[in-house]
Amino acid sequence: MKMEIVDILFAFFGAMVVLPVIYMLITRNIIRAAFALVISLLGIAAIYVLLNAELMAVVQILIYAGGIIVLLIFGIMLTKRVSDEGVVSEHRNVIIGSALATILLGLLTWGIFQSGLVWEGEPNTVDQVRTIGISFMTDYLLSFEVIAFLLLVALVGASYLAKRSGNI
Amino acid sequence: MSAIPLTYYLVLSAFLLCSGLLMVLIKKNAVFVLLGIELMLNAANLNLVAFSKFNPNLDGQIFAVFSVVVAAAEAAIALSILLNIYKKFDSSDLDDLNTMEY
Repeated sequence: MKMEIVDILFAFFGAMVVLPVIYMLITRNIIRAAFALVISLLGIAAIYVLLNAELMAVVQILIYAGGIIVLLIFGIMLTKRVSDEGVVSEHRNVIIGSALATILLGLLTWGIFQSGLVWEGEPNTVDQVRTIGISFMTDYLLSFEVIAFLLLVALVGASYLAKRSGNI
Repeated sequence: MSAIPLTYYLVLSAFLLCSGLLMVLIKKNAVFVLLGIELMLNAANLNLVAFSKFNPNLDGQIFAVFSVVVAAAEAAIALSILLNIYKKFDSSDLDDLNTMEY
């Protein structure tokens, strides 16, 4: 099989996703794990581009790598003093947990290769932002409103919880 | 055009799911558990986007956008709960949370 540029890109970005995740599993330092997760999420955004999903790639970079990671790092820094002894976390149940995860990964991989799923037809060439926007306002209007309300409630609830802890 | 088969993306997603699960299982700190949950949600998103590559309706990507929004809400709520837990127990290790009284 001849190596094409897409294969090389997939291998590179796949390694960019997999290696930081393995580092996150073995490290004990939470800050380092959070920044490794940033690299992994950016790799997933690149894989979305390989999948012709530009909107999802932008959403991934904006919300995950921009928003959720900042929230998590705030959470780490508000609950630990980073400068003191380093923010470390112990491991437990390593052997049985690794065994379970390895068995699950093996079963999933076996099932995926056994299923022989393939894509059919042609890759879509539609204008993605336009199509998704129209879908939000027509077919998925109720879901869109519900998710907007959920986000509002979550933000109000989060600020309420954080404020109440300061008063007591 | 698409030289990479669908199964490779699914295997990558399965790896992300299993490592997120392993992180939830073996780490003691609550922030690590949240990182593992984010990894598992990303595995689901990767599957949805991969399945919608050849679908002109883009239903999978719309699902993935909803899933990202739910993940953001979950992270905000979980971290504010974690702040309260830290103020109450003076620790964010899950093994130290051994009482339910407030």
